[in-house]
Amino acid sequence: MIELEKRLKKELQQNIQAKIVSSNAWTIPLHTIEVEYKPVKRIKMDVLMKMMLITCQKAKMTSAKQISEILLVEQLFIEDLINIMKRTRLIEIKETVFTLTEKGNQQLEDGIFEEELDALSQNLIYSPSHHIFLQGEIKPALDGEEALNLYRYASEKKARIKWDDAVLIDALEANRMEIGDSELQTVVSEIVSNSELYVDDVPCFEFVLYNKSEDLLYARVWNTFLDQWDETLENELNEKERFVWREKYLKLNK
Amino acid sequence: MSQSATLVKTMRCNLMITNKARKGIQEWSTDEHAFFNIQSSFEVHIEKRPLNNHGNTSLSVYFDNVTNDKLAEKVNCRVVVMECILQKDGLLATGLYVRSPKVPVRNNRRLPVTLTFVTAKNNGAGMPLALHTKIQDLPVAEERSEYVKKRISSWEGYLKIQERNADIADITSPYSKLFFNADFSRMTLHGCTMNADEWKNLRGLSVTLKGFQNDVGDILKADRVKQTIEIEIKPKFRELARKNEWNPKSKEAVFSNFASLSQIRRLRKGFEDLQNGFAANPNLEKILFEDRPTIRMNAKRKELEFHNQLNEFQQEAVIGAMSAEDLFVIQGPPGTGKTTVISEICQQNAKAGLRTLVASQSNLAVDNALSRLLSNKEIRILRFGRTESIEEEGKKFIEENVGYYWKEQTLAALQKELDEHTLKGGQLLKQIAECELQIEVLSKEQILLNKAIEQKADAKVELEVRIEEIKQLKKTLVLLKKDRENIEANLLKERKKLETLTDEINAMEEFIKSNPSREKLLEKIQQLQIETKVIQNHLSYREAIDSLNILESTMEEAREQYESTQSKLNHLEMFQKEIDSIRKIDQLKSQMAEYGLELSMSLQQQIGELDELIEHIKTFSDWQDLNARLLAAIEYVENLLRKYKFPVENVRNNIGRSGILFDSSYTIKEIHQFMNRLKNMMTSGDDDLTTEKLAILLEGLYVREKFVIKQKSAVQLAKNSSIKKFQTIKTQVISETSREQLALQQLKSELVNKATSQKNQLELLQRTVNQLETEIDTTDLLSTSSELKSKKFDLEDSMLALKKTEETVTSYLEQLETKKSHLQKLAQELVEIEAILQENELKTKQVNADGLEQERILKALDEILLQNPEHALEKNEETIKETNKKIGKLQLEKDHLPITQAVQKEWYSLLKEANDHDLDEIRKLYVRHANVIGTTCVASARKEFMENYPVFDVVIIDEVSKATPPELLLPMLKGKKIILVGDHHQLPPLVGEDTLDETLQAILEESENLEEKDELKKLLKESLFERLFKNLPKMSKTMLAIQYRMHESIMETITPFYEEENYRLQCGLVDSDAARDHLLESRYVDRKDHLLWLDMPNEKSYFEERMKDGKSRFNQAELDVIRDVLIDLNEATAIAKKEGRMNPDERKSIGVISFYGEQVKRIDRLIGQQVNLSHLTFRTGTVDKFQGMEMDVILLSMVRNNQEKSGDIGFANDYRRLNVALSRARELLVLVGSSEMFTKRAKQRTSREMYGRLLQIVKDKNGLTDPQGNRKK
Repeated sequence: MIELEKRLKKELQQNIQAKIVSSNAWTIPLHTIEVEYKPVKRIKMDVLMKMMLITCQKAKMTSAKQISEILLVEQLFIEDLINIMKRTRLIEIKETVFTLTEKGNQQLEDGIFEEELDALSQNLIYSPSHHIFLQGEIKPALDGEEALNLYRYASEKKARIKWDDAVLIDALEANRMEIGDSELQTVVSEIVSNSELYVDDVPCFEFVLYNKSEDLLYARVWNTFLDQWDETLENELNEKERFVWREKYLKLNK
Repeated sequence: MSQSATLVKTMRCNLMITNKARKGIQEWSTDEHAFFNIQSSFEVHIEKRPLNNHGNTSLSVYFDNVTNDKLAEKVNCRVVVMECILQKDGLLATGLYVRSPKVPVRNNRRLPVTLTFVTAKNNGAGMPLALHTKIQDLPVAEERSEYVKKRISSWEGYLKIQERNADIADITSPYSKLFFNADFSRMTLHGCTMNADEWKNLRGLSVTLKGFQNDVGDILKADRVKQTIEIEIKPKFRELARKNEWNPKSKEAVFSNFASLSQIRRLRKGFEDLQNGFAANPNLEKILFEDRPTIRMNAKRKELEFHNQLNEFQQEAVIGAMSAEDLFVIQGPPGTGKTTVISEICQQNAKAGLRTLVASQSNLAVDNALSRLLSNKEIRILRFGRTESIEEEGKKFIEENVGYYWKEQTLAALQKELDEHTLKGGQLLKQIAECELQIEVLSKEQILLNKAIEQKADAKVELEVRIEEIKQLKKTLVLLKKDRENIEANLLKERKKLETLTDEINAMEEFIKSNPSREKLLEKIQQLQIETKVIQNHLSYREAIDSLNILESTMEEAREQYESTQSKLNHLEMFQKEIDSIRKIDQLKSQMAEYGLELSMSLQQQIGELDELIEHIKTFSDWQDLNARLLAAIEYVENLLRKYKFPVENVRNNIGRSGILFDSSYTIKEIHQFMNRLKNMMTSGDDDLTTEKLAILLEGLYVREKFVIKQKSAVQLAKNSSIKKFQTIKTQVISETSREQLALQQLKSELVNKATSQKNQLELLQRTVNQLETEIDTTDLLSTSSELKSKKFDLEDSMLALKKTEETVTSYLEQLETKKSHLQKLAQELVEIEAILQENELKTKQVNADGLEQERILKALDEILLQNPEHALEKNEETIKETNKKIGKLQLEKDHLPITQAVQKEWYSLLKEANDHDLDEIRKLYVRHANVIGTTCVASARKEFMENYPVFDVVIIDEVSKATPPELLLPMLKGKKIILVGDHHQLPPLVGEDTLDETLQAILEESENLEEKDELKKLLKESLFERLFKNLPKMSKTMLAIQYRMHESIMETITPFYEEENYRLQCGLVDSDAARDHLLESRYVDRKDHLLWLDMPNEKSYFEERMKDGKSRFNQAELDVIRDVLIDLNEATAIAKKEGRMNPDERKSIGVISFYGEQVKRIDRLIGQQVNLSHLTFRTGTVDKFQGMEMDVILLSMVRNNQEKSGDIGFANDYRRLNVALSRARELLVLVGSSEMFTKRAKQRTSREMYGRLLQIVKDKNGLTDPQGNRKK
C-alpha cells in the first residue's frame, strides 16, 4: 500500500507546477450482490419484422397502413419491410390479405424459439459513493488497509436493499461478455433472486494539489478498485472542500 | 439536380454523324445505328459551349450513366459524352468519348431531356422546335461558370484568413514531460524544442503523440519561453489518462494542420460546386451575387395548422418560410423564439413529406435546435457529426442511438395505447352510436332535400310562365307610354291655341273700347276735309303772288343787259375805225384800254415779247460807247508793246491759245470795270508791269472787244424783228374785235325775244291772282306759304289715321263673334283630352304594379332555383355512405379489438426487451427515412454526408450571422429551398478568440499588400445576412419581434439596437414581474430589481491591468466586487429556500461574463477556488462565447477603467457585443464597471452615447449603486 502511495505521489510530483499540499488514504464501501437469473438463447432477428410476422399471422392485414396503425410504427418503415419480406418470400398476398408463407412460418417459429438455459448467478458490485454498479473485481487486501478510516462522506449515503429487475438486468447486460457473432444470442430473461452477500472496504488515496502559477487547488483520488483516478470522488471533494483547503493550506504556507 | 421537374416528354431528333464521331462509336458498337438502338430513348443532359470558329453553336451531350441502364451496362457505368453542333434539321455529332464514371452528368447549366436519336439517312425527323428553343435559351456553361467564379472570388479573403496559418508542413517536437490539469481536460507538454517560425504557427494545430494512432487533441497555447505547449484533450484520451495508461514509448509530438486544411478544402469545394452549377437550387448563384435578386415566390400564401404555440411574428415567419420557393430570411433578436420557429418549420416540412437539413455554425446551436423539436412520430431526427463534439442533448439523435430513441418513442406511444385498452371498446361503441345518430339526422335531411328538389322543378315551370307574363306587361307598358306621349303633345298644342285665341279676343275688345264709335269718327273726318280745302285755296293764292313778283324782277334785269351790250358794240366800231392809224404799241395798248377791250391770251404773250425786244434795242448805244473805249485802249496797249518790240501780231493771232482762260460772256458793267482796272495799272506806274503782263492784258482786251462786236450785231437783228412783230399784233387785234362784235349782236337779239315771252307770262299770273282774290277772304292772310303747307300735311295725316281706325273698328266688330264661338269649342276639346290622359296614367300605374308583383315572385323562384339540393343530396348520400363505411370500420375494429390489443401487448413486451441486435434493422430504416437532419455547416460538406444526402428539400441555417459566407455556402448548396435565421445585431463570426472584424482589422494592419487590403476591406463592409435581409423583398423576410427571455426592464436595454427595423422589439411576457421574479432579497438586490449597475469609481485603485505577455486585461477591483455579490446572492438564495420561495434542491443559475478572456479566467478561479456557493450554479465565459445562452442572473464585468488619454474601451465599442452581453439574463442583469469610463471617457462618441443611454435606463429603474450596493441618485 505504501509503495502504491509512493508511486502515485512520485508521479504527481513530476508536475513541477503542482505541489502536493496534503495526502490521505481511506476506504469506500462496496456492496457485493449476488443475482440469480435465467438466461435464454434465441435467434438474432429484427424485432419489427418479427412483430409484423406475428401480426400477419394473428390478424387479417390488408395494408401497410393497417399494420402501421396497430403497431404505432411509421408506415414508411412497414412498407419497406413488407417489400423486403415479399422479396425474401416470407409473406405473400392471398386474396388481398398478407399471409405468411411456409418459409415465413418457419422463420417466425425460429425467431420465437427461445432455449431456456439453466439459471445462472453473478455477483454485482455496488458503490453507494458513486450511486452505480461498478465493474471490476475485488482485489486482495493491501498491507495496512485495515488501519484506514472510512471515506468521510460515505456515511451520508445509504446502501440500497431493494433493486428493480430492470436495473439489475441492465447491470448484468453491461457486465456480460459479448458472445461471438453467431446467429444466436443469449439474453437475460428474468431475475430469479438477489441478495447482498457482503461489504468490502476498498482503499483510495487522496491528494490535494496546488498549482501555484494558476492559483488552483484540486483533489486527486486514486481508486484501487477501478485502478484509475476517480472523477466522481474528486469532484465531490473539490466541491465540498476547496474553499476550506484554501483557508487551511494556503494561509498556513504564508 | 433539381431540374428533373422540367424534364420534357421524349422527343425525336435527327442525328448526323461525322467520320470522327463514327470512329468513337465504333469502339463500342458496329455502327451508329446499332449504338443508338440499344435503347429506344436516352436521358441526356445538354451543355452549351461557346460558338466554334465557324460561328456554330456547339454542344456537349452527356448521357446519364444511371438512368440509361443498357448504355451504362455497355460502357461499364462510365459517362458517354457526345460533342455536337446544333443544326436546323438536327444535331451533327462531331465526336463521341467515354469518360470516367465520376464525371458529373447533371448540373444547373445543362438541359435535361429524353431523346430518341434517329440515325437513318434522310429520315425527315428534323429537330423539334421546342428542343431547339430550349437549347437556344441555355446559357453558355463556361461563361456562366466564369461569372460565378469572378463573383465568388470576392469571398477569397475569408479563406485567406483561415489559411493564414494552415499552409505549413507537420511540425515535430520532442518533449521531456507531460502533465494533466485538474480534470484531465488539458495537458501541458514541457521541454518542447522547435525553431522560431514553428513556435509562431502552433495555435489551433492538432496533436499526435508517438504511440497513439489518432490525434489526441488541439493546441490551446504555446509558450516559447517556457517551452511549453498546452493541449485540449479529446474525451477518449481523458479516460486513458485517468487510468494512468498514458505511456507513450518515445517522447515526441507531431503537430499538424490536417483538420483545418481539410476544412478549407471543403470550403473551396463549395466554391467550385457553385461555379460548376451543382447547387440544388439553380437560383442560388443569383441570390448570392445579385444586388436585387429575383426570388421566386409562391403567390399563394400557405394556410397552416401549427403544432407549436406561435405568436403573430412566428406564424408570419413559418408561413413565409413554407410559402417561399427559393429563400426566406428570418431575423431573430435574442429570446424571440427562433428555435420554436425552426422546430415548427421542420414539423411542417415533415408533414409535407419534405426532408430538412438544420445546419448551424456551431454544434451547440444544432443540438439546441434539434432538442427542442417536439417528440413526434412524423419527425425522424438524425444528428450527423463526430460523436465527441455533439452535446448531450443531441446525442440521442446520432446514428448509433436513434434505434433507442425510436424504441423509447414507440414504447411511450404503445404504453399510452395500452392504458386505454380497457376504455377502447366503450369508445368504439360510442363512436358507432354517434355515427348512427349522424346517419339518422342525415336521412331526415334527405327527405327535406327531396322536397326541395320537387319544389325546384315546380319553380322552374312557374318561372317560364312568369317570365312570359312580365314580357307581356312590359309590352303593354311601352304602348301606354307611347300613347301618353302623343296625348300630352296634343294637349300642349291645344292649350297653346286656346291661349292665342283668348289673347286675340282680349286685344280686339280692348281696342274697340279704347276708341270712339264709328259715327263719331266719320264726322271728324268730314270736318277735317273742309279745313283742308280752305287751306288749299290760301296756299294757291300765296303762290301766285310770289311768282308774279319774281317775274317782274327778271324782266328788269334783262333790260339792263340789253343796254350794256349796245354800248360795247358802239366802242368796237370806233376802235376799228381808229386802228389803222396806230403806229406804236403803247398807243395801241392805251386805245384798247380806253374802249374797255380785253386782250386775248396769245395777244398778251406777243405784246410781252415785243416789249422785251424794244428793251434790248435800247442798249445799242451803250455797246457803241464801250466799243470805242475798247479800241482806244487796244491801240494804246499795242503801241506800248510795239515800243518794246513785242510782237503784237502774235497776240492777235493766237487769241485763246496762250493758256489763259477767259469768260464767254460779259455784262457792260464788267467790261468797264476791267478797263478801269487797266487804266489804274497804267497810270499808277506799276513797276511790275512787264511786257508779258501787258500781252495778257491785251489778249483780254481783244477777247472783250470781239464779244462787244458780237453784241452790237445782235441788237441790230432785234430792231428788225420788233417791227415785224408789231404788224402781226395789229392784224390779230382787228380779227379779234370783229369776232366780239358778232357775238354781241347775237346776244342783243336773244334778249329782245326773252322780253316778249316774259311779258305774256306776267299777264297770265295777273289774271290768276285776280280770280283768287274773289274766292278767298284776303284780309286774314297772315301765314306764309310754307306754314300753310305744313298745316295742310298735319291735317292730311290725322285724317288718314282716323280713316284707318275707323276701318279696324269696323272689321273687329265683324270678327269678334266668330272668334268667341271658336274659343268655346277649343275649351271643350281640352277637357276631353285631359280626361283621356288621366285614364292612360291610371292604366300605366296598374300595369307597373302588376309587373313588380311578378318580379317579386320571379325572384323568389330564382332563389329556389339557385339552391342546389341535388348537390347537397349527393353529398348527403356520400356522407351517409362514408359514415356507414366508418361504422363498418369501427365495427371491424371493435371485433378486432381483442386481437389488436393482444398484438399490441405482445409488441410492447417484445420491443421492451429488444436489444441492439434487435433494433439494428429499425435503426437502418430510421436513418433511411430520417427527415430532419442536423449538422454543422462545415460537416454538411463531409464526403460521407454528401453521398448519403446530396440534396435537401429545405435547408434551415441557424445563427447565420455567426458563420462566414463560405461556411454558409456549404449547406446552401444542398437546399432546393433555403431558410436563413440570424441576427446581424449580434456578434459576427469568431476566429479563435476574436470576431471576424477584429481579425480582419489585425490582418489589415499587418498587411502591406494593397490588393489584399482592398479585398479584406470589402469583406468588412459586407455581411451576407445583413445584405440579404436588407435587400430582399418584403415577402421573403420577416423579423421576430416578441421576446420571451428577459424581464421587460432588461429588454429595454437592447431595444435601441433594433430601432431601425420595421418592428419594435416587444416583450411577450404577460407579467414580467411575476414571470421573471428572481425571488431574492439581499444587500445588493431588491426583489423588484432586474437591472443594476454597480458603478466603480474612475480611480486608480479600481483600474484595469494588462497581462504582461498578452493583450488581454483584467480588473481586480471588479473581481472583488463580483465575489461579494456572488456571496450575497448565495445567501439570498439560501434565505429564499428557507422561506419557501424556492425548492430546497433548486439552484439559481448565474452567468458571469466579461468582455475580456483574462477576466473570465480569473472569475473561473474565483468561483472554483475561493468561494463555496452551494446554492448557485454557474456558467462563465466571454461575451462572445455566451452568444446563444441564457441564465437567470447575469453579472457582466466590464473591466476597462483607466484615465489614459486614449480613452480606448476596446472590445466594448462594438454595439453587437454589448447587445449580446445585455440580452443573456432572464431575471436579473448586474453590470459591474465604471460609468464614468464608459459614458464620459470613452473615445468614440457613438460608444459614449450608447453607454450613456444604458446608464439612463439603469437610472430610470433606480438601479445605479456604488460598489457596496448603496443606491445612487
